[in-house]
Amino acid sequence: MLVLAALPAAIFLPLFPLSALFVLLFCRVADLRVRAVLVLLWPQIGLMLATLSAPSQALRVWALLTALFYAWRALSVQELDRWIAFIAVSAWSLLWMGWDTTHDLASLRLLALGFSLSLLTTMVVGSLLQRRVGVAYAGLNHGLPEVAPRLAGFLVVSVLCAVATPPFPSFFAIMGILHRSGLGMATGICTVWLIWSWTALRLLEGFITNSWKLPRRFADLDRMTSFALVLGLFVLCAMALGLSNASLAGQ
Amino acid sequence: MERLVFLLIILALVSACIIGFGRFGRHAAAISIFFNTLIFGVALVLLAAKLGGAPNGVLHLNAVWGSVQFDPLAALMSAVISGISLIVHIYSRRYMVEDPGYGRFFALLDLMTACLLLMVCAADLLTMLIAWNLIGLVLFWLLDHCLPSRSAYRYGFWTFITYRFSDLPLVLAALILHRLYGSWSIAVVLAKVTANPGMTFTSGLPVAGTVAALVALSAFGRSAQFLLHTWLPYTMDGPTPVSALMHAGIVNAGAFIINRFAPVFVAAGFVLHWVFVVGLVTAITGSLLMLAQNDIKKSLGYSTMGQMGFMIMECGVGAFSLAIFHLIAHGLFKATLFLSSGSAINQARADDGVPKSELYTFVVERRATAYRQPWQLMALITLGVPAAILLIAHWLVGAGILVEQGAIVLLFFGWITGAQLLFSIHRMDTEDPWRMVSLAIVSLVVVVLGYTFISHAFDLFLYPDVAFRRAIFSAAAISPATFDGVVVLVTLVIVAGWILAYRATHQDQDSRVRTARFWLIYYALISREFYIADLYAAASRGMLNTSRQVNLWLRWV
Repeated sequence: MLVLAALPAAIFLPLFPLSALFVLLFCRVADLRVRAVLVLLWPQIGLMLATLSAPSQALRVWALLTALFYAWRALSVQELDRWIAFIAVSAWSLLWMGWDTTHDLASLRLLALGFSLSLLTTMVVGSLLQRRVGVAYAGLNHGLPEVAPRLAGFLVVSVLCAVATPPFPSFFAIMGILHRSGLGMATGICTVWLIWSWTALRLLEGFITNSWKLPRRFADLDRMTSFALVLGLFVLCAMALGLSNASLAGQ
Repeated sequence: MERLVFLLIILALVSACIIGFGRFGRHAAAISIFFNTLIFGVALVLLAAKLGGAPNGVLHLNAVWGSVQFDPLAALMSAVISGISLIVHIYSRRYMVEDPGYGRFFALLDLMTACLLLMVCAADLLTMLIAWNLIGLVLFWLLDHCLPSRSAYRYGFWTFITYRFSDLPLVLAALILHRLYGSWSIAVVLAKVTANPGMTFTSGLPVAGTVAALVALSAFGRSAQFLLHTWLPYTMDGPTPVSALMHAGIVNAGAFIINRFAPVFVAAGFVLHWVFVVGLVTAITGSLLMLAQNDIKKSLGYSTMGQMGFMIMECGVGAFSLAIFHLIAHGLFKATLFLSSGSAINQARADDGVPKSELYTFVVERRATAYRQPWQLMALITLGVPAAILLIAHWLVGAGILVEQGAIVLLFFGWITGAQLLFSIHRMDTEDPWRMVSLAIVSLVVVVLGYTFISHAFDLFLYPDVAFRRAIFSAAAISPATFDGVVVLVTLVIVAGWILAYRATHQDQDSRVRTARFWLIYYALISREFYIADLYAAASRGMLNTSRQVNLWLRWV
């Protein structure tokens, strides 16, 4: 019964196989604004639905397996959009681990927001790349720093931001979830985190290494856009500080 | 004083930001060196203040994390890190001058300095985790400084993933401590562990033992201990100054973290025994693999691995402060080796250094032919002299020190090293072997006496509490029978080495052919580095291939 009650939530706090819905939707939508709304709201709806029933231990195990599965699948992904979708599924499914009656929902919502904001940063930088090259595909855009050093730098930072690198919000979000989990589950979550880092560096390898081979060259980010992005990253770090104070203090 | 500690980190960050965001061209180095000189000056002031007896203190910048502390370990490590970093900066100024990413390189170096300083001065678990995590990341980008190079990226990735692997046990340890003791402050949780060392989880697992094991595992990854070592010898594609900084400073983090969590280890003696065994295996493996390399840089990499093994072994026997001294000594000599490698190559181009044949020496150069002393005599010296030096050195520092079984490290280190040195002199044909032997013995005396005295001084500085020092050694203690057994084992190893050497020089042609096959297999195993890296590569290839296959089946959704 409990599992059935959690089914609608399992779409929004994605559990395999229902997780395919988000991936499908995310990859179909091309507009950045719609995607941003999707990424920000999807886990929040999931959390709202999840509060209707307390998750069983079996459901938590399934969530952890989903997170591991999508992290592992992200290893072989070369398309930036799909990679974001896989990491999003992997990260949001971890939210099941943070949900129990002893913790307040507000801080869990903040953790979800921490993941979403970090993914949003990657989406923004990815869209800047797509606008210039047509596609953000690792292996196709080899040697990006050669033609667009600023864009390449922001791409590196944003991808690392998505995989819970300090001092970005996703780092404190995963720490918050680890904080709410038992030792066994925490070990599993740490494994997910390790695989995320692996996927990030595999993805970046396809953009950073080698020389630029495509015949067309393009303009790098202008000073204003770069300044806006730097400012955005600083704001993100400031938000991370707030998130850490809200989710990791005391207890 | 803690405000000055904070200033150290801020100065490094400011330098990184100025260079990273500005366009200074070749002036980037001057700015960076200026800031690093300031940092080194502040670090020296802090160390002097601590030596002068300034009290410990903590500065909180935020409610949950972001606090830094001023204590003997932080003061000492800050001085070491900023000193080595300054040397590397000055060296890089000319070495990297033709590099297109000159500014980026110095910005990353400064960022690395900031992260290292934050790690050693962190007063809370979260700040330490953040610094611990960022060090791996910044090191990756420093190693991958030549962005188009795929091999630099690949080997940088090995480093990154091992570092990330070693982050995770520390994360778990921090979470356990916070959950049980309700604070992120390192001092608070360590005090609570000391107050109740026998505390267990509901499952009956000892808290101190579990945390100590996790911290040790984290230290193993950082300090390239056996099975987590494969990244270290392959990270030579990065710029030479980065190799110097990495081998001199970053890789030593294992000993630092064990020292920082010393009170936890006092309550977990069995973990210290495990640490000792891992260190021992690493020291032996690293030294073996170093001897088999024909590439000087890889050889240096394995030499670092062997040294890290010794350092971790020292922690395993409770000689925590000795490990810190080892860390500093190793840092300085390894930095010297790396930074002088360019000059060594130039010198080798002028003179290959290959010794002339005996006939040439005798007929053309008109010098006496070389000869060897009888092996029995040399074997006796090998056994007796290093042991005598060690015993005298300990007796001079304090007769009671032999009761502290940390002495076994000196015994092992000094004895094996002394034996190895004398053995290599025996194998070397020289005109005046006695001169060489005397020089070797004199240098051994200086090294061992210096080592013993300095380590004692470090002990007094880092752990002024006599009771705590005793508690560390007693936690690491082994039974007298085991101790005597290890001493006998070391003796037997040296004797066996001499017997092998004797047989190798006296066996006939048939026996040589018979043993050649065995040595060939042994060499293949060593030259492939026990196939450990191959095994990891095959496992990761398998994971990637299956991931791709599953994605194809699931239509990438």
